[in-house]
Amino acid sequence: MMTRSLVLSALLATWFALGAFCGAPNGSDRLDALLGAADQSFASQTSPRSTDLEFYRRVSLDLCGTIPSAQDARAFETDKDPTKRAKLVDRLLASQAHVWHMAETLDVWWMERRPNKHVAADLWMNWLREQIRTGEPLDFMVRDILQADGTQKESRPAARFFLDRDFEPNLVARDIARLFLGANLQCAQCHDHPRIDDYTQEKYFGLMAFLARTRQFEDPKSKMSVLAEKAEGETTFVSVFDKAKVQKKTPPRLPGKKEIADPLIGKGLEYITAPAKDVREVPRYSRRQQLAGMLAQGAYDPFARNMANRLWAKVMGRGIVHPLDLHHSANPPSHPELLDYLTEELVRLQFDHRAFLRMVVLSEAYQRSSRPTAGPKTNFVETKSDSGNGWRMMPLRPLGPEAYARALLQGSGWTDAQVAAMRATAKKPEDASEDTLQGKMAPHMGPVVGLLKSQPGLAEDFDARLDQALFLGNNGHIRNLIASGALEPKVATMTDADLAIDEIHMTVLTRHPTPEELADWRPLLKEAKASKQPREALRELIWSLIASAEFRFAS
Amino acid sequence: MKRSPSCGSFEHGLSRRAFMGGLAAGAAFGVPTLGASSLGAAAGALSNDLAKSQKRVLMVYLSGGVSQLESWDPKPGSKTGGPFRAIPTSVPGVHISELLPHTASQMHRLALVRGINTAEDDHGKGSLIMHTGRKEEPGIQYPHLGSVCSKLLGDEAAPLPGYLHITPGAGGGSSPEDAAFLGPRFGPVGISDGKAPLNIDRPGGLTPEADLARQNLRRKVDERFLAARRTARTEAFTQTFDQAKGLMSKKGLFDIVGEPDRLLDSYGRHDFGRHCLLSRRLLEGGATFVKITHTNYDTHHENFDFHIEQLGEFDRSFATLVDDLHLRGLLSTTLIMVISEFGRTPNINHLYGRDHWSKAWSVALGGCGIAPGAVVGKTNGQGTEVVDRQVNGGHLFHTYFQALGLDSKKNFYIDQRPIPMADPKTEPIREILA
Amino acid sequence: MMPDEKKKEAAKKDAPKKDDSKKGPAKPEVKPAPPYPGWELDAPKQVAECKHGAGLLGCWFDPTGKWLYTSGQDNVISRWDFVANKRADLAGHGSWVKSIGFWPGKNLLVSGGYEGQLIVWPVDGVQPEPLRQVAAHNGWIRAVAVEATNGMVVSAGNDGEIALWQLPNLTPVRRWPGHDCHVYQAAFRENGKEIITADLKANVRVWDTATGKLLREGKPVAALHKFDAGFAADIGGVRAWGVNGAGDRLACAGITNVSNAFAGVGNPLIQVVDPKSLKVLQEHKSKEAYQGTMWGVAIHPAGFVLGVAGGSGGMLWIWKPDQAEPLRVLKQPDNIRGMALSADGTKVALAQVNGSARVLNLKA
Repeated sequence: MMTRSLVLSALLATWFALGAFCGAPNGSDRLDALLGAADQSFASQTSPRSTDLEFYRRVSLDLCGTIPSAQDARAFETDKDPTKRAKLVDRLLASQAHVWHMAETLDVWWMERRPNKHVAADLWMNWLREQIRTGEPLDFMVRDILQADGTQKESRPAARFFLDRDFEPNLVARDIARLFLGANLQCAQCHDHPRIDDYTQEKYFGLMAFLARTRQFEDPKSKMSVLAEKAEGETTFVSVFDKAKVQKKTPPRLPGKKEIADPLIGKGLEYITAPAKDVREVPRYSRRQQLAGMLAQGAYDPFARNMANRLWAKVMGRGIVHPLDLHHSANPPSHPELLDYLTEELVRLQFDHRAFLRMVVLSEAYQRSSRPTAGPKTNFVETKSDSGNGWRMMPLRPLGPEAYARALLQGSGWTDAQVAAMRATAKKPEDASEDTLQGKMAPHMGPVVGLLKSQPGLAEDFDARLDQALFLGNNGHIRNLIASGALEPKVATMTDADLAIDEIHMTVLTRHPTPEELADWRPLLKEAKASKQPREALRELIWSLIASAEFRFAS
Repeated sequence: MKRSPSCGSFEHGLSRRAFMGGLAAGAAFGVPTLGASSLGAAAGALSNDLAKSQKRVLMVYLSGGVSQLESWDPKPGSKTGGPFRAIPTSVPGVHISELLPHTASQMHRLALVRGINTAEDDHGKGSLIMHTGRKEEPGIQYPHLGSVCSKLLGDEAAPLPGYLHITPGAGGGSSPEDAAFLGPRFGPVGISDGKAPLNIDRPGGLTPEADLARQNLRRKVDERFLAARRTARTEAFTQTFDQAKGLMSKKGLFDIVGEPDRLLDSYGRHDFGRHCLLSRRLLEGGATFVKITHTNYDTHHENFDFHIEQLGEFDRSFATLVDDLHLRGLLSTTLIMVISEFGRTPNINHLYGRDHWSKAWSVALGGCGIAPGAVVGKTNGQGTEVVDRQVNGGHLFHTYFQALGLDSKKNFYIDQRPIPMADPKTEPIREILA
Repeated sequence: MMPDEKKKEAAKKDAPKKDDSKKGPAKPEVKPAPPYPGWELDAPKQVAECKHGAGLLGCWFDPTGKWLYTSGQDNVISRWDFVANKRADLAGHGSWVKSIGFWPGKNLLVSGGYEGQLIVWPVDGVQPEPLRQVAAHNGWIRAVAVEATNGMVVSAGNDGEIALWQLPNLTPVRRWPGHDCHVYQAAFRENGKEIITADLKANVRVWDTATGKLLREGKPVAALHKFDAGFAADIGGVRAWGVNGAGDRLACAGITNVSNAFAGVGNPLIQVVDPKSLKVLQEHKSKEAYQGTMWGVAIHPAGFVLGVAGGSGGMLWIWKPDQAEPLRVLKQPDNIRGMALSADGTKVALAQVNGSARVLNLKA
């Protein structure tokens, strides 16, 4: 039976009606056509379509941040419906697991693991989840973030972006440019970028001019940090390369857009609340509010382009512009027309991330196997390591910290055991809800996430470290998960060795063992069962799969 | 897992290490990567000869801010001098504080930089300058020296991690953040109170044979899976298991009990003494960068009493370590630095304390690439200002790199953005380079 | 002497109590009898200021009360005729001096320096010059005491050794390892038959002068020491002490409740110890939440206890011998690092960080 995601999601309100777009949308076809358009030989070099199981594991990781249970995977495999992949995608996108996963994704994108200082991380995460749950478009979310001053209860969570950066103006300007516009203008703070012609100091300070009047303010009564803004103050800059030290001035201006003049406001009317000691000043005209409206919208191409590129990279392993925050003329997109198209689609879909992701994951590009086509050129993968050589095949992608932690829970059988227990004891539907399950997972995910996550303020990136291997190999945490999971006891009672080996592979790797593997495993399993401590020996066999690269990377 | 992918692509002309790590993206765009040493150490294990000439670094960090007046730049008899006298050292004409008699006898193997002005009196920010060679800059984190050395000097096939930090007590003090854009793999592995890293022991109940069996099975699974789709990342991942195995095999290094009594006495039977001895074992065992933190020197109160106590520990242990490295033939390939976040005020406050002072202070260097016995920089009679050859953290970093045979004017690349290895506004301190 | 004093004490103890009980319907015109008649404890008048210059480390009256000696961060000991404000410098130490002893009969002064040197100075001349100098200890000398009758000197310091010398030539008599950490105090007692010492870690030890044998030891003033794990350092010790005329009350001073050794966050404390039993008889504390170290202590011939502190402003407290809370709290203009009480109890001198010693008249 299909199971956890289905049962749990059925309990919850769904964002769109199931099966609303069964079958691949036209967008996916267009996407595939554009991807192959650049190269005549593309079609002959592409890898075959992934198997159903490969696809199920991949799309579960990408949309829900975990791997499927063996039971779900078997059901999907045997399902004869030709539109089952599209239906699966719709089901996953409608699930609560997707809500949790997407909120985590946005949190990592926008907060980059910064510790919470002024706005509780829970408040922010709940807000993100609520936005995803209710289908709030991404541009609206960014607008909320850029508008929030932290004074209103509803907008307080969104203010975390600013407040937990202490509204350090250079940091905020840099991160708005990097995270929302895909342009790392860092260097342009002091001078025009020496290598990137597009990144001028003017651009940086034009953006800065929207922000420079704003400051973080601690309310003396509530001790709460909020934002205050002045009605005056111009932004000036000098290049460190300019020997004459000519001071330049700039009004607010979005990169590539016209300058925004302040409206004429009568003298004495500049403030709604005038500056005074211990008072949060509020201007009649806010440059920062102006920025929020102008930047976070489909009409502003860099914003939409950055968002499309990031969503693409999330599921395709690499941006069409890569690195993600270096959109500029000297670093052109690998597939310009494709990026144009994706950008248009995202705008047309009104920044609905579900519809956009659906289009991408139902493309042939996404559905291709990660195995290269047979032949002598197998090593070509490595030269363009992360794009699968222009997405001729699916690149291997390391699981994010949360996804890896959840996959460990699922792959060890811990989650199955937990879900069974929850169902058995549930008195009301909430007792067995996804939210309840996620709450139970959290403490078991903590040690793993802590070990894998990037440092605060750095974009999430994969890094393999010694301490991780020591943890994986020797720490009790992983061993306890395996010991308390449902997999080992189940396999221990299975009398047919091949079925047992199959169950282990299906649970941990969402695939059947190959005949070669079966041959390898039969004596190992026999030996384990005949050993003095058969259950412990069985757990070590399971560990070998859990610690494998196949488990660490999405294929 | 040391298969060399043979695609003949541009990337493989470069150091494999550069390819695996943070330089990968830069390399892919064909920008020059770091020079000689990373190329020299490319692919595969180092031969024995290479291992002997492997450059290493020992950083002794006197946490809290050691007083230059009670250590490297005494001003006896002056208003600010305090109660301690200066003593002659093994280098004629060079005097240091009487609190360092053993170190004084090793002075001919060390060098002093007495003209440091880092202009930063905050602990965190001062520490950052001394560990990264840069002042704090919003929006960019520079890698710590240990991470840089781990990346540029380390041998990825070595059983020990490149950057080891021996911390006092159970305290941490190591952060993967140290590696900044180089990636946490080059971050410090903390050795809390000289004890072996976390999770170094095979799980209880798992025999070595069973461990080997499960690792072999894992390896087989990996080989099958990666047969046609290995990448830099999968390679890095599978390698960590080998690194873990290497470290587990070197667990004995952490056990200093077997050292001769005489040596244990000489190093000192206290934490810092044990940590110094451990550092020698680790350097000898193949570690690239070992940092020892000795705490604490933040003596706003009773500066003199506390410096007797702390430097009393430091002096003998450190001098023994220098001598021991020399006797084992490691000194010429090991760069030593004794640093703090800053020095202490010449003025003696009402608590017999000295406060934070970054305007005029000193560090000691020695070993690899350093001119033995050299002294550079001078402060005025009361130690309140540098009067000759003023330098800052940037100069020190150029000096460290040059001493290690690295070109300090090269760049790192974050994507396509060049990040100078050392502050381009500064130069190496040539007077103390050998 | 003693029984009389005790009677006086008893009488005074009652007086304020009665006064307290009468509170309520106030009779403001009735002034309580001063607790120590004949002594000015409310506002002792400054009668001299000796401006040494460099930050002071301590001050001492000679046994006659004629001279005041100051010692400063300039390594100089100065002898002051504080009435005439005439100064003579005793220059000879290579470091700071925090311990001085007198042999009254012969007008000799013995000083111990942080360079480890003992110097004997004849001090009746116009310009005292060293008579004898010996390298006595490895490291700081922190304690020097002279046995008045026979002119024997005990010295101790950072090397943990206890050394005996014979005046006037500082002839070595005997030395032995006494403590495994810095020795802060040393004194003769029982007419020179015993030596009592105290160290950084608050160990108090009593030795047989003739043999150097340990007679008894204890840790009665453990409250004055702490190992600050945060900074990995020992803090405290007996920073000053003073004994009463009968020699049965030894007041040990220092810092307690240290929460931050390296910022000097802690409270001053005096613990009065019975040198025979090595038990604490009484504690004296500051009334207010004062942070700093008790750098000086003395038991006045009239029975009250004086203590001075530096750290967060200069303080002079006066306690009744049986009370923890001070009788008087006298704020001083600058942080204090040492105190001297003249033998007759009429003068108290305060050594200040700003380089001057102020002499106050305690006689009413």
